[in-house]
Amino acid sequence: MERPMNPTSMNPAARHDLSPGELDPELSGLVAQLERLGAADRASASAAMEALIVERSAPELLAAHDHALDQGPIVISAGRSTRVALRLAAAIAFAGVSLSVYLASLSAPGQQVAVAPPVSETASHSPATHLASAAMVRDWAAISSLYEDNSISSDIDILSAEVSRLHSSLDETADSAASSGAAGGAL
Amino acid sequence: MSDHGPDNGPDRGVLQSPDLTALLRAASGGSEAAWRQLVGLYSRRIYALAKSRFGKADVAEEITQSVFVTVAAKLGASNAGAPDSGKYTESGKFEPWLFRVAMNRIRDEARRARHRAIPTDPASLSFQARPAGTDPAPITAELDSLRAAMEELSESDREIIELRHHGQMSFKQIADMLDEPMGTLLARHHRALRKLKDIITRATADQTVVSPGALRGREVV
Repeated sequence: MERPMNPTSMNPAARHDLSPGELDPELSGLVAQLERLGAADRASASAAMEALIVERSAPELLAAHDHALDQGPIVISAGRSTRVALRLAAAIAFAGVSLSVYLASLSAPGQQVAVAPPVSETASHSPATHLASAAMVRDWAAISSLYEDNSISSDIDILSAEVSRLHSSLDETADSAASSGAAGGAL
Repeated sequence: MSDHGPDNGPDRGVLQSPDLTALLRAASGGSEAAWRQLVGLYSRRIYALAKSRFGKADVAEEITQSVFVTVAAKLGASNAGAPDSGKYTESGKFEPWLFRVAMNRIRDEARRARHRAIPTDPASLSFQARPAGTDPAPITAELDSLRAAMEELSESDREIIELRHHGQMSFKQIADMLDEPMGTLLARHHRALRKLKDIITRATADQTVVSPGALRGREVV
C-alpha cells in the first residue's frame, strides 16, 4: 500500500503550497518518489563543487573573464603565482574557450602573458571544465585520466598540453619575477 | 525570458525570508562568507535540476558553476561603481530569477547536446559508479524507472516537475518564474503528474507482459 504523503515532509519552500496533484491520493506515492529522486540528485553533488564555485567566482576571475569576453586582450604578469595563473586558465576554460588561443609567451622571467579574446562562447564543454579544475589543484592524475578518456573531445589534447606548458613555464619564472610591475591591465 | 538580473519591481506576494534579504545584501557588499552561504543554499538545488535533465554529474556541475558566475557578476555589479553600490535590494525576485537563469542554461545545454549528438554514457545514468557510502539517498530501481519515465514527458511538463521536486521551489515562485497564473500552473502540475503516472503504469504493464517475474517486489505507483 502506498504511503500517504505527509505535507510536512515536503521541502521548506514548498510545504505551504501543495498543488491539487500533490493532494490527490492516487498520486501521493508518485509525489513521494519524486521527492526522493530530487533529494537523491541534490545529495549526489560532489563535496568539492561548492568550494569550486566559490573559488571560480572570485572577483579577480570574474573581472578577467568579463574582460576576456568583452574587451579583447588583457595581460597578466608571468611573475604572479602559478595559482593565480591557473585560476585564470580555469576561468577561461570554464568560459568555454580553448586555452590554445590564449597563451602566448611564457618563457622569460617577468614576461607578460597575452590573453586573447575568445574564439567562441559556445565551445563550452564539461571536459574542459574538469581539466581546468584539475589544473587548479595540480591534480595531474585527473588530467591524465581525462587525457586518456576516449570519450572526450580532441580539444582536451590542446588544453592539456597548454595547461602543462603553463604550469611548467610558470614554475620556472614565478620565483625570479616575484614583483612584477606589469603595466595597465595586469592582474 | 531574460536572465539579465532580478528586477526590483513590486513584490507579487512571495514570502521573503529576512535572512535571504540580508544575505544577498551582504554578498553584494563583498562578504565572502555570505557568498559561500548563498552557494550552499542554492547550488545543490540547481545541480539537481541539471542532473535530472542530463543524467551526467560533470554537465550538472558545469551548469551550476555557470549559473553562480552569473549570480556573482550580478551581485558584484551592484557593488562596483553603481549608484546603489553594496545595496542590492531583494524584493522577492531573487529565487525566480536564479532558477530562470538555471533553466535557460539547461535549455542551452540541451540544444547544444542535440547538435553534438554525443552518445549517452550508460554509466552516468546507472548511479553504480559512485563509491559506497557517498550517497545518503540510495537510488533504487524504482527511482531509475521514474527517471526513465520523466524522459518521456514533454519539455514543459518535465520542467514544472523538476522545478518543484528537484529545485524545491514553491508554486508561487514557479508561477513568477514562468510568468503564469497560479491556477494554470497548479493545473499543469497536476496534469504532468497524471501523465507521468500513466507512463510508469504503461511501462510497468509492458514489462510484466514480457517478463511476469521481473517486477516482483517492486512498488508500482
